[in-house]
Amino acid sequence: MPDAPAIHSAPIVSTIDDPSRPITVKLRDLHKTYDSGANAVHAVRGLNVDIPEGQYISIMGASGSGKSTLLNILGALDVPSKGTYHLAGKLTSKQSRDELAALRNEYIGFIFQNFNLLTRSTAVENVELPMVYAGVPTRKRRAAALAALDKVGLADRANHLPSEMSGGQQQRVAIARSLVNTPRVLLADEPTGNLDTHTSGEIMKILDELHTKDGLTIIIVTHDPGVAEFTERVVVLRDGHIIADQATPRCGGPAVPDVRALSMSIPEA
Amino acid sequence: MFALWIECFKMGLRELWRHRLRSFLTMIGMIMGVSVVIICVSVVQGVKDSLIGDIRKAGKNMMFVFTEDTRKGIGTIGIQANTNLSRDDAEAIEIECDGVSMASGVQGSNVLIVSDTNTATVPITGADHKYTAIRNWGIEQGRDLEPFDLIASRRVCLIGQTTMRELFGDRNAINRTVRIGRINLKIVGVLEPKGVNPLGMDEDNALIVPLPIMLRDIMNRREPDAILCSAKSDDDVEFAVQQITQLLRQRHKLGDADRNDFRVSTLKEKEEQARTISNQMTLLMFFLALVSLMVGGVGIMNIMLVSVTERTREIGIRMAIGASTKAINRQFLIEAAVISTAGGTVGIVLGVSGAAYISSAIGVQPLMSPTIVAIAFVFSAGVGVLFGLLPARRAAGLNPIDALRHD
Repeated sequence: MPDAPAIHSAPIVSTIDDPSRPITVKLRDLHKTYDSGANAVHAVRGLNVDIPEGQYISIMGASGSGKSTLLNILGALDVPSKGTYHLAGKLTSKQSRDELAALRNEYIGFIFQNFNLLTRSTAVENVELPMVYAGVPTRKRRAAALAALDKVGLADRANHLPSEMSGGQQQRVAIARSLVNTPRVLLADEPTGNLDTHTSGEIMKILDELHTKDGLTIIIVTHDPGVAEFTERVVVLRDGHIIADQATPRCGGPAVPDVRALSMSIPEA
Repeated sequence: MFALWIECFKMGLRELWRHRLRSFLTMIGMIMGVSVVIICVSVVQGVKDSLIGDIRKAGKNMMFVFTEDTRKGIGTIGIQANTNLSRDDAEAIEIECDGVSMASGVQGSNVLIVSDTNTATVPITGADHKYTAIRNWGIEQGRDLEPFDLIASRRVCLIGQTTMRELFGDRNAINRTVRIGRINLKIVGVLEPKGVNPLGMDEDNALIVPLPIMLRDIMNRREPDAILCSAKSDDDVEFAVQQITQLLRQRHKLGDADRNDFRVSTLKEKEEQARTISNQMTLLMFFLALVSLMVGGVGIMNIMLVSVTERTREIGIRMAIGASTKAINRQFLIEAAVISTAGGTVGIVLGVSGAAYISSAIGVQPLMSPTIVAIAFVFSAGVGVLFGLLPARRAAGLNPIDALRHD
């Protein structure tokens, strides 16, 4: 954890313009084309992005901007059609399905809008799951899962089913699950999309602490400027291109653009 | 990698337990198939064994020589008046065939027997003093027939248990007299109980009289129409049959073109028949059970396919957090195998107890071979794996992005 003491202090020290940091995510001329019959859809058209280790970044864009496609590629759920994606120095585009699965398991923590917990498994079983596929022995697994739940303040809910928990609690279980394999990148897809304002604040606070205290690289995909303002840097997509890449007001940048307004101005293709 | 198997196994068990009713209903096909195969095979094998046991009980390596009419156009209705066999034939067989240890001419008939209090129609047998030895039949009381009884044509007889009860009730029959037509016979021995033969006839309903009495006084004929022989050993039976055939053809002066005027039949043949029939039945049962196992397997495949569709989202989540295709494949394969193996195990328990119950109801000893149980178990597991392959492949082949978006 580099520069740990510095990151502690608020307002946060920006990871932007710090050339000493290693690059965790490196996108070069990234293209993704979907072949849907006769007409090919260019979802992402030549993205170049570097995300240094420990950066807290948001990717914004209206629906159809290529945001979801980028998320899938960043999450190693999909591979680019052209260009390269290096995650912690590993090139994902050349990897097989199972290699990508191992990469996701080891390097990436997912947080989803709809939590995506296994509904018939208890909180602790859900948190254990990434370790099951990582081959962690049973006893060690249970202890690590309980520690992760404790970290998100749910130690007393370990044996509850998701259906017995509130949305905020479910999202905290999901965060605990994303952390157990100590990932290099935390990938959050609209993490507060299904939550009320108060609960959203709780979740954002946890993410903020993961950034400041643990120095975790966090990528949030959202269309909510309020969420983006928590981060250090915002990348705005439109029609598969980056139209803005800036520091947030928190780190001395200009106001975060409202992509919902942007989407109104997209001309019909 | 062994650890992944265990994890997949645990997850499979947990999943099946969560869908208890569905899992149980899916198992029923397997339970039926396996229990039916075990019940059928062990009962049929048990019946076969008791049948063969009964046949063996009938006598020591027994062979029958019957007269056979070779003349054309003459139907054989009832008892034949003519016979091609003779007492001399019996003697010759015993002396000249070294595969044969004993031979006796026999003549049977149903006749009315009268005692001092009762009458009964009884199948009586005329034979010589070797008859009880050939039939492996002991004397319970009194004495056996002796050579002198035959030479002197003494009017004596041996009585079976059932006949004795019918004619004398609870009284002792030894030294009492029975009457057949105008002839009085003294009972000199009581035969041991022998039970029911494979044809369902009560062997104890019997009266044994010296052959000369039977032929001359009761049947009014010269020679017996059958010869009962005993081979020296079980292995000698076939050889003995050849020798008897050769000897009788020679004695009856049959040319090479002539058909046999007699027929030799052995208990070994009957034993073979019983064995063949029951083995064929076992095979038939086995195929029927195989079909029902296949039907059960298709049921499992069907449910597993539904389960894969239903759990698409779950599969997507598992893939997103790092499950390899192998792990997903294995999880569903194991679920299918666990269902079918559990069904098979329940089927084995039901089958074994069902076989015991049915066997005791029809009065045979079920033949429970561990082989058939093992085969049933392996088969049921195999069916699960076989019919789990397709659903498991479908699950593992899902695209994680689409699966995650699935509702």
